[in-house]
Amino acid sequence: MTQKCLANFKKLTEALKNGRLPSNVQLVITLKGTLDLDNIRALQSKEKIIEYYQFYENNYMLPIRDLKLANAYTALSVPNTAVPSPVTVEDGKLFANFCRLCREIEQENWVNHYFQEYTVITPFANRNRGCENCVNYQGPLWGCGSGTTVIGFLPNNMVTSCHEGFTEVVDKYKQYVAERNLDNIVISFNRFIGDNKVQLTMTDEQYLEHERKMYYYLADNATAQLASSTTQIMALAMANLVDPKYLDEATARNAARYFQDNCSFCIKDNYNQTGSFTLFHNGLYKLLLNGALDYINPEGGACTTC
Amino acid sequence: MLNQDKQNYQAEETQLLKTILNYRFFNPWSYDMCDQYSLKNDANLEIYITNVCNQHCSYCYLTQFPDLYPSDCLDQELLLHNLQLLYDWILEKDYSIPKVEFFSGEIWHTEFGWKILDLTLQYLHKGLKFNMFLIASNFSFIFDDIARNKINYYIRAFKNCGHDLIFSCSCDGAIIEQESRPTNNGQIRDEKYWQTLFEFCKVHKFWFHPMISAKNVHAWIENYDWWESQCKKYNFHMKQCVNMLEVRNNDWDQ
Repeated sequence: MTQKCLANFKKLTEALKNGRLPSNVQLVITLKGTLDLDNIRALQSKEKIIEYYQFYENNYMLPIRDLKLANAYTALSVPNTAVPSPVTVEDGKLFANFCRLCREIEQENWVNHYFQEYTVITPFANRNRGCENCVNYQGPLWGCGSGTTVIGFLPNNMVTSCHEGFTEVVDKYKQYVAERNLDNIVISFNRFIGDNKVQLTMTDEQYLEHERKMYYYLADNATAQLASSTTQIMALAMANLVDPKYLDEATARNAARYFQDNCSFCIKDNYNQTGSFTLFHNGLYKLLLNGALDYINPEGGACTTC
Repeated sequence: MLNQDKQNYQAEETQLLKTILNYRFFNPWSYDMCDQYSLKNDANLEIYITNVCNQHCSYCYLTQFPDLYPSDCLDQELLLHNLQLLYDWILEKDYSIPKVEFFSGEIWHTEFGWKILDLTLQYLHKGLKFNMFLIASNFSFIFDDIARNKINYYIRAFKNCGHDLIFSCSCDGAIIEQESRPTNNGQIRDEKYWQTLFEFCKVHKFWFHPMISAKNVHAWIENYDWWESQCKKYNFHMKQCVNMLEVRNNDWDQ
């Protein structure tokens, strides 16, 4: 699959080199790598992590940069974590170690120049962070999947508010997964698409209903998510499933605020696992609150919100 | 996900549930006394006995979703045995529970319901520390003198060993009762029934919780007037004694 992607990307690069991109069009290529649990387990040394990010630079960023086109570039995106539902404490500790190594590599990179473009490689490190002065129970919500800022138009008059739409239309992909019995991998598209209680790919009529639900989910000054998330984090701390410092309500609330305005969750996963768009699955907290958030968003870092 | 990962993940979910149960219920039940910050007064026990019922109410979730209650667990001896196991465990743990609520299909006019109350009395004498009992019932025992006398007996017997046995009346009101809550055997709640019911509730200071549902709301203004007239007739304070509850099913429309 990787070789096929690289071959396709090479064709794209060749086309750009041959002047296929009109001057009135700006092309921004955003890489959307995904760190699933298998990836995180495999990336537990600096050498592996450097190799991982160099792969992105060497194969996707530098070939576009070297074209020196004024209207085409590759965005410096850092891979996101996968849909977080089945995560254990051990996975969270491994992710924390991964984040620690990423931060150390970022520092070393100033001297050792592992990367030509990347200066930040820690997942979610560029997101907003709040402080005691601005964190309350009325924070803004991250709208991924809500369709409030981005929607996709698909064949057969379908609309999607989530990138699941890309997979929805490729029925053969489902067949591919089913035929190869890939249920034993962490992210199974079979599971992601097949057994879902909610689909974010809709007809016009269904989209109207989705909009109505999202109006409540994203309502101004809604406090349900922050309040329930704070409580959930404290309960997990009581059960020793996240760092015990989150027994403190203010600390738990700061973390909840971070999640709310952060792209680490998925509302589709929320709904499928908890029956609610608002409630996050326990896996998300276990992934980030067993040390990872302390590297992503170190205490004492400057507030970027107020 | 590999099998080992699945097992680890499931073990953590179990650990979380146990923690919540401990903090929210079992720890508060371990203390006889509680201060204003204790969760004890909100840590009640609800026991759902059976879904077998003599009515088929239009809004009942057990009628709409019969799979909610496992059909292979309806044997009365099994249910009594399970209740006994629960009581034994609570005795062994020496838990003190402020309020126990029996939710069930209607059984309080039947031998089975009385066996449940007999067993509970037996364990109260053994030292079970429950402060009070609340039973939501459709008061079918009002129809029958023997059944009504039995319930009177249990109320007294519980009182004699220091516990309140309180019945909360699940009836919607004469105007909509037959439409909302039809009985399986076609029995009708007539004027005599309502009179006996109100008199019984008056004696024991029991209250009412009629349901406002999508199906019966069309007649609720008239029904409300009926409740008002009955409260006046039998000297109940309507606002205090008639707790109207909204049925939150998904069949509400404009």
